[in-house]
Amino acid sequence: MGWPAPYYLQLVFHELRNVTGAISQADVDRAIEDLLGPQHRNYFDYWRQRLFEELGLLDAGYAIAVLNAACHAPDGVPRPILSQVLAPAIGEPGMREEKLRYLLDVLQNDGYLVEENRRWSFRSPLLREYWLRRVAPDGEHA
Amino acid sequence: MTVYNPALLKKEDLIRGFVARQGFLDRLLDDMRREGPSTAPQHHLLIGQRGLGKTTLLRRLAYAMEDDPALAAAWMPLVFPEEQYNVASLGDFWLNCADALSDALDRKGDRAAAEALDVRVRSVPADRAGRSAAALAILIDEADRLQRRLLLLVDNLDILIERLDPEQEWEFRRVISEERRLHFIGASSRVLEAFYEHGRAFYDFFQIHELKGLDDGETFALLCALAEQAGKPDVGKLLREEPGRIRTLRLLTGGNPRTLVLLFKVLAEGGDSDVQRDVEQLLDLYTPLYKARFEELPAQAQQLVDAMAIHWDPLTAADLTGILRPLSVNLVSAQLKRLEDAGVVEKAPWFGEKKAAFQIAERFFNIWYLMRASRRVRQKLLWLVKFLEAWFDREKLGDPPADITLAQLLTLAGRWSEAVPLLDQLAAGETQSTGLFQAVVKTGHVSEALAILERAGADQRCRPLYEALRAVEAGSPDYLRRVAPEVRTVAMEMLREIAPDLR
Repeated sequence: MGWPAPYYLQLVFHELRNVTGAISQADVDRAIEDLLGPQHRNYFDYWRQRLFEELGLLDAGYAIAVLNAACHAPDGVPRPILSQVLAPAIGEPGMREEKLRYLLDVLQNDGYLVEENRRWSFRSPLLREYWLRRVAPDGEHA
Repeated sequence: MTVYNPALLKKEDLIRGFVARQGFLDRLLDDMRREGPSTAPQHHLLIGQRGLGKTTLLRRLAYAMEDDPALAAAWMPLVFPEEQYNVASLGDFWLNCADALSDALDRKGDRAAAEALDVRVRSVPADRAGRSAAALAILIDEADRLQRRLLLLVDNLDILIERLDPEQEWEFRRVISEERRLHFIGASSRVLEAFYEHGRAFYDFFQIHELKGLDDGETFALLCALAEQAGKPDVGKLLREEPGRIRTLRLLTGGNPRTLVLLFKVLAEGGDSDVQRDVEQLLDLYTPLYKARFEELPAQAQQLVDAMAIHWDPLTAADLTGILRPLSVNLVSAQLKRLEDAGVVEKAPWFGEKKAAFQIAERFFNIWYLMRASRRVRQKLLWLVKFLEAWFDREKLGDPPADITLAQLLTLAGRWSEAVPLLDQLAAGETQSTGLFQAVVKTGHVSEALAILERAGADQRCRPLYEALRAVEAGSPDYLRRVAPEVRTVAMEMLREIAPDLR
């Protein structure tokens, strides 16, 4: 599960509580798969909604474009590519750089993304999986 | 002095004139020194608007590699025509590489090798698959014969990529990933989805370097170097004595190196004039290019560009439709999309609503257009030019005049009604006093101050100050997104002084 977010760990354990006998890898995979199913969408929807609450409509749109790019790359995305992702929405390189710096600060501080070896990736693989399945395919773009 | 076509410059002239991006060139050369036959190659892509120095940089890199014994022994840099319009398939591109290699051999005096290469090129079959494989084999064989790796310095990569179908894009990627005898440094004036969209062939493939306009320090360094090379001490003196004039011109030109080279010509020929004259002469040099570019646009696109350039500030599709009535919003949006794809227009963030705004992408074209418009429109730009120069030179002015200090003290003392007549007088001139307006902000008289500025016409004459106060009224520095970049830069500086706590 990567980042051990206590809330999501608890949910996985909850899913596993009815398993009899020793818990196998397949049981854990099934529990995670269930957690990501449409019936549990609201466990994760909060992560998307709070972008709008915290950033406002326009910046949330840019943040979603950045997260959409990051969710496709388990090993992370280099910053120059994230800048190119925003280029259609913010043409001026200086203004775009300023906006990207701000967004990455927010997304890092709020636990969405981490930077490692100059690549930006989702902190939680579970959240990345949710984003890939539920937000990115038909998500909003900048 | 060649300005638009670096390919026409002699090697020594190009090297002498290459000042602005020396640090970046050194980093690229270091990267090339680290590239060994056994290391995974790192291909590069330079992105930047026209005139930012991509073509010059590629040519300068080729010369630097030729002149460095260790690099020259390992690499053969190949330069190409700026645009490769003859490419219809990947095979055509490999053939262009063979042609560039033949040129390079010829330049080095190895005519026999160049001719032998040309003979092999003529035998390449016409069918797509056969053509690509045969042309690539010629390149590889020649690299082996020379015992050097080929560095492909490809300008306008966007044009090339757009001419390849997805299958050929992947094949292109495969070849330059696996074939260690080929190395790639490309340049593009546009950002293509192919470079950043997950699943596309060139996603996360290049190390991307976005070239920006020069900042104040780089601009002074470039102009100083040009003055020294051209033996023009008068320009050097002007740079030292009139920094405000140069900073104003840098801001209006966006620090575009090509425009700054032209600016140097203007300064060298008429250094005793003033900033307005500099701008006029500089714009005059651009007239043939900008006029031709504008006239190439279809009539309806011209209408849109005209409205956007005259408006100057970013504006939404809905606002633009309001100006262009009876054109429908759908039609305006479709035209905007076309102009955006062509790089004439770009999107910009907006303030207050979830809407995209649009502005003219090449800012100096917008300035040129304003100067050719009606007297009233031109006047707005001239006011800004004057305002900027005074702002950048404000340290020279010393203490503020007594009436400004008095107005500031009265405002801070809560005697606003006594300060108003003084403000009325000041607004009739060209006020820039941030101390006074900081007092206005502190004491909550922003709306009244805005009304005073409007009454006196200072909303246009002192526009950066007026917009900074509007941002205070709107409660956010982001308000300045609604303002043209040339105005915004100084408005933002003023805002930081008059309302340092506004975030």
